[in-house]
Amino acid sequence: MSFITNNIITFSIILILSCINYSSIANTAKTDSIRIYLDKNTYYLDALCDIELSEEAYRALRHGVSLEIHIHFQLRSKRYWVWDKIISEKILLYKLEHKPLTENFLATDLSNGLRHSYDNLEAALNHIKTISKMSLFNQDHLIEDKVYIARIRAYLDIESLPSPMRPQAYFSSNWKLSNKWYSWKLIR
Amino acid sequence: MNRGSDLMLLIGSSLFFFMLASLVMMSQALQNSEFFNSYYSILIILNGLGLISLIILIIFNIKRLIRQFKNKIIGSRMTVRMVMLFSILSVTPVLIVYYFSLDFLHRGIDSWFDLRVEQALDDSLELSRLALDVRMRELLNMTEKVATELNESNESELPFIVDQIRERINAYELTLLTRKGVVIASSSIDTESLIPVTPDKNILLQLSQGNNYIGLDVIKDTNLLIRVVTNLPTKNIDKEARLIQTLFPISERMNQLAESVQSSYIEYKELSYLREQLKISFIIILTLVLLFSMFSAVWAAFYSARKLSEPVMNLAEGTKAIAAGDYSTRLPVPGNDELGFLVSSFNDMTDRISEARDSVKQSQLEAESQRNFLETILSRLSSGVIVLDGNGNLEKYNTSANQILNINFDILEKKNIRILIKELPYLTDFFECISSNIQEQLDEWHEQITLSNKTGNLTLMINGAVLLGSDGETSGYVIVFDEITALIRGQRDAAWSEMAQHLAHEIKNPLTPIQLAAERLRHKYLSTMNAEDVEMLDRMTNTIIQQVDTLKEMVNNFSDYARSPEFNPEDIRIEHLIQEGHDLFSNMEDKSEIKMDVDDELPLIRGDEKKLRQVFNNLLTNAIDANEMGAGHHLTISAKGIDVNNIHMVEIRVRDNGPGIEVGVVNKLFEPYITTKQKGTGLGLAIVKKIIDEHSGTVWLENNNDNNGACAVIRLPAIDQLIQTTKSRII
Repeated sequence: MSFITNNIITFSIILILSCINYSSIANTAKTDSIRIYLDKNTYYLDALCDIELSEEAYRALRHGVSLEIHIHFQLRSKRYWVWDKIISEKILLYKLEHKPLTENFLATDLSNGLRHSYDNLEAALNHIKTISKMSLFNQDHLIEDKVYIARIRAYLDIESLPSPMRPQAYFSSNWKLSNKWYSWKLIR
Repeated sequence: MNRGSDLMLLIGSSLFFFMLASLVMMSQALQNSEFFNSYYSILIILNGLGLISLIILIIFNIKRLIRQFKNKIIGSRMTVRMVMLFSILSVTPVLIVYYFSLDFLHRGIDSWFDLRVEQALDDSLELSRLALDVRMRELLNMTEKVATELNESNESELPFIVDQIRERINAYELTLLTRKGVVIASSSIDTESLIPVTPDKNILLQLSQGNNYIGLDVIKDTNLLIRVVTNLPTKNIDKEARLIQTLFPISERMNQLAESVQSSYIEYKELSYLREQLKISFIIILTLVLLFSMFSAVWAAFYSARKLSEPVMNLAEGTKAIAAGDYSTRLPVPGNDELGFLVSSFNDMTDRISEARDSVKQSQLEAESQRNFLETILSRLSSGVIVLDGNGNLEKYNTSANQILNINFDILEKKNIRILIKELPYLTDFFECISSNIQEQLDEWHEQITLSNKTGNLTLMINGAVLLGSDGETSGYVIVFDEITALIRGQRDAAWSEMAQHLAHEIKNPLTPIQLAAERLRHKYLSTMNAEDVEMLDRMTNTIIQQVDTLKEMVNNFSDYARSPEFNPEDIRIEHLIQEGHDLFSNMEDKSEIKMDVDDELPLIRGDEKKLRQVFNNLLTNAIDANEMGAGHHLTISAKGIDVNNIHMVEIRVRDNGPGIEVGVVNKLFEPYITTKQKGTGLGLAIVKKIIDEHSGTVWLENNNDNNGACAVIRLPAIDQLIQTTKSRII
């Protein structure tokens, strides 16, 4: 399987945003992998996250361990003396599990309970990593011409793993998160 | 110390209960407790922190103990031993339990998993699949038939036909769609769902390759559904290819069984996969429990050792304090056990020692007071007092003893009387007298002795007594002695005075008639007798008359000595009287050389000028007479102010260059009628002595140190001293 790397679980978000477009995110912002746009006073996000499982994570999945993947979006307002103010925040919670009877991979959206069954992992991961028209926030939340920082990351929630696995997951590179925030500027 | 100990107990106990609770929660978390499960990582961290705190607490204790050990603080060795003993006693069983627990853990977890169980689960899953496969193949056939039927149907009637077919074949949902996934017609048993379930890209890809799709899917929130997707036979090449998707529900029972098999399989697989992690987790918890138990035991060992050694340390400190003389130390009683009894006994002992010390101190104070009282009395006594111990060593003495014997007993203290006899030859008679009486073991004795030295005789009345100790044995001797020289002399002077008056009276009366009778004889018979008889009568009568005159003069002198003329005191500058005497005798005696050595500022004295003038005349006369046979007189009169026992005095010395005075008579020369001269009445020095006594002064004769003549020494109190004496008398 090409989507399985040898030693890491990499939840890297390929959000390649052109610098040229930073200032042009007035109504819509679009790149190859991310698009943030305004529709009827509401900002929406389309994104494609590249989520890869390590061999160990795949083995755990095949052995009935369900994995919880979070996609976390934040819009922050820069403050110099204290920490940044969070204007808006959204978290998409997905559970990925393997069903041995049907040999399917089940992706469940934990926010609404909708389940999607796929006969291969790639399809299930595609479902999770594809964000389509996620409602973010109302335009009124933003002050005109003010620069905001939008950022997004995806990560495996180690706390959702069975408790015996957690200590190892915290210290093992096989379960290490690659959950660096991907940030970009947003101006109304 | 107690506050620190309580704080340590509070911290340690809090830490202990906190870690205990945390470990219990961790254990619950591993047993799939939903609540604690979510806090598992936090609990591990908290336990780790708790352990670190416990380790810090122990390190702190160890450091403190090492410091105490190095500083050799009392009780530290005992604490070290107790800590080591407690630690070994408590840690050893814990380690044994740990070792066997690990073994049981490995064996126990491994025993959960059995190849036969795993095989059975695999088989049951396979069986479930096979059971479903039969049903799926039937449904595939049915769907293919439906596809043929739909292919022949009229396009406009498709929605109705789809609905009819779905109802006929008891499908959950039947959807006709293009190969691109666009829905043409659909019917579902779920009337609320407006949008049919469409196959995903992979299924469409599979169909486009001419294959059918059949599988068990979980669609929406429903149970398992069998999804069958097949292509519709192509009638017209221009017509877009279509496919049909049917969703069939599985019977409730089958669904339950399938779900049961699947969940059991998943659980077993998960558990099997987690076996090693589970072991690690249990080992972590077990290790945490072990470390917690060990460190708690070690900490408890420290605390217990300190609590146990604290009373011992307090006892040691208390003992040191008592050794240093601090009897106020009160030790806290640790409890009702043996140590408590010991500490309580120590406190009682301290109290008693303190009371005894106070009592001794009180007794000492009383003894000191008594001693001071006695010493004050002794120092004020005019009698000399000497105390000897049982061995005859000098123990005590008073100032009068120093003054009377004219020695300093300070340098003779603790010396034996035998040594004193040898070291003080001029007091040999005195100490011999004491020694002999001591040897005779007399309880009381009285003796009068006379000591002679260069300044004269010293008559002492000595009284001795034995001092008895508390056991009735002789513990020492007390010797009281008085100088009675003046008393004897006074008695003698009084007797002489009385005799002089009597003699003067008895002798003077017949002298005048004798003298008159002699003159009458001379007058009557001198002119009538022959020359031979005349010469004889003249010689005889002259002798009578001269001797009568001499007798008269003698009687007058006696009378003067016995009579006490009126004493007229006034402030006198003594140097003027000395100057007068010097001038008088310098002019009278050609071959005399009289030197004067008088201090410039002599203090005034209070006295009778006439009488003092007589004193100087008598002394200068005596000095000149002392060298009657010598070639020339070399006299020196000196005067200076001195302090004698803090009494300001004027000392006058009249020194001659005569033959000196024999030691045996030096003190008797002041007695009347005692003289060493060829001529003289023997009253000159007696009168001097009497006048000086009237002036509260002292006079004595001594031989010069260079064995060249003698010296008369007079000491008269200065006027300020007189005033003080007078005042004290008035008071």
